[in-house]
Amino acid sequence: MKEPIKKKICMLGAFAVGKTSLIKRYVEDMFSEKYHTTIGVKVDKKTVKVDDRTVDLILWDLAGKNGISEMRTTYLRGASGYLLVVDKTRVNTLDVAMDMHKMAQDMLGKVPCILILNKWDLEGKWDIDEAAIEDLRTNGWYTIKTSAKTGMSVNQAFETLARKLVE
Amino acid sequence: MSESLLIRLFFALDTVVAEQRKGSTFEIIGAPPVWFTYLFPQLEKDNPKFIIEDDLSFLGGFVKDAARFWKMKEPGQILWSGPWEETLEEGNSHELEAGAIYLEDKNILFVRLLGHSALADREMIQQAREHLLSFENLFRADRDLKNYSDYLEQKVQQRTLEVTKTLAGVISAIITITEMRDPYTAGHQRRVAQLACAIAGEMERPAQEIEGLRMAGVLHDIGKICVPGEILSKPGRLNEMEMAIIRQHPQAGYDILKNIDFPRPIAQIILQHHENIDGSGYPRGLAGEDILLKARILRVADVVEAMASYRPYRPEIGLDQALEEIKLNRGKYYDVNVADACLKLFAEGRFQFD
Ligand SMILES: Nc1nc2c(ncn2[C@@H]2O[C@H](COP(=O)(O)OP(=O)(O)O)[C@@H](O)[C@H]2O)c(=O)[nH]1
Ligand SMILES: [Fe+2]
Ligand SMILES: [Mg+2]
Repeated sequence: MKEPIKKKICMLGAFAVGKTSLIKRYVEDMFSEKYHTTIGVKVDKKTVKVDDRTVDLILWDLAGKNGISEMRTTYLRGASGYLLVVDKTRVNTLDVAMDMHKMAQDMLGKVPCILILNKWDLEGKWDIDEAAIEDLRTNGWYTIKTSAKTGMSVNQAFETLARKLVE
Repeated sequence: MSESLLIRLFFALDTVVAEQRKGSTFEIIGAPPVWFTYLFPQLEKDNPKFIIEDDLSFLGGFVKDAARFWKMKEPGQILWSGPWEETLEEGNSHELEAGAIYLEDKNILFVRLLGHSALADREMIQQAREHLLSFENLFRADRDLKNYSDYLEQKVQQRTLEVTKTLAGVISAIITITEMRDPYTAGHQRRVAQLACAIAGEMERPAQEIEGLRMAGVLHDIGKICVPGEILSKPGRLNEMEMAIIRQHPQAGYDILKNIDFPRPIAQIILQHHENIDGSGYPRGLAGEDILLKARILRVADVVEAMASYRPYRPEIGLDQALEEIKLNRGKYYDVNVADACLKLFAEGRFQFD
């Protein structure tokens, strides 16, 4: 049995894309329609198994409005990877995500990241079309469709990232 | 500035104060509250040391910033972490905030549990900071007033100034924290200083004395740091015990300031700012000329400001009634000349609070 390892993961993405909800679903298996603001940063922990390795994930969620300007260097420091969250019903959240991705790369270098297409359950309201997503994929992005509401692929998102971190 | 006082102060705020020992090892001053032991389960009662080895945690990240900050050795300045939320007990998350301060050659880390009023707190801190700037300017003005007669004298003065500056930093920190607890004290002290100076001007006191009075005014309730917040903002009447606690504040203020090498007897003035000329005041029951003139001036300014301004925990009183009180007890509680100067200022419309 190998020693457990600790990895810090940050949630990046525009305001109200579901960062907090995804963590809540993953850690507590709960969802709430209510939008609850926290102030500052929220830190959660979750232990996962990747093959025979135990990985303690330290999940950093930034409260705050539109991320970028409020994102202090402390927030990203020491992160091994991040989830870039996009709201499938708001196309502009994709632009915000790309800006944040650039910023994170400047600070952390090329670390593992996954593009999360959240709120997949809101079918009638999709605002980002398949072609755009296809483009991202051909550009090398690893994408996962999730719903914090139904729980669809939420574990998979975090665990795929965890696997990328130990590999 | 006694260390125990500072610690008492932090305790009143449900704050953990720890001193950096070596690298990532910290030692708590006093006993850690229960919530903190959730954060560091390895803490023991008789050995209150904890190690922040995990630089992936929020506090770990902050300590890295703090290390850089402590190196700058800026007494009284506070580096705040910004609030963060962490799950402490099973399923219960709490909002916390950390700060770093360099005090008496020590690297101090503090962590506090934020209440519901966390955001309001930040607002107050912001205000307190602005207030601190004006406080620092006072020290500068004070230096300019000094007449350096020769080189040696200048050297001595410089040294004093350095000491004073350091202590000013410590006091600044205390003021910040006092005002975080009781935002009304901030404005109150400033306005009392303003009125006290105007009264002294009306009485044609020398400029130096007026400057001293300004400093005493700005600081006069600093001893309230030792009064629990619930008492300070309690609506309605206070009971005997609560009154007794409040009455300690002039002495507490004196204790904080007495060791500071101020050019004027600021601490004495503060000690006496609740004395009445008929001997019915506290803490000493001094009477008449035994009370410093500056303390007699501060007394009147304090009463007028306190009655005239709005407080959420009591009905509104107003300026007219405040002046009525001064008239009524002129010669009893309040010095006759001081009372007259004050009443004249208002009667002739020559004074207004900012
Ligand atoms: N329908 C649906 N709503 C979601 C989903 N994820 C989050 N929400 C809602 O979107 C809002 C913002 O979510 P939140 O997690 O607070 O966003 P954050 O600002 O990125 O942390 C909340 O009202 C959530 O209930 C999802 O997958 N599906
Ligand atoms: Fe007072
Ligand atoms: Mg959130």
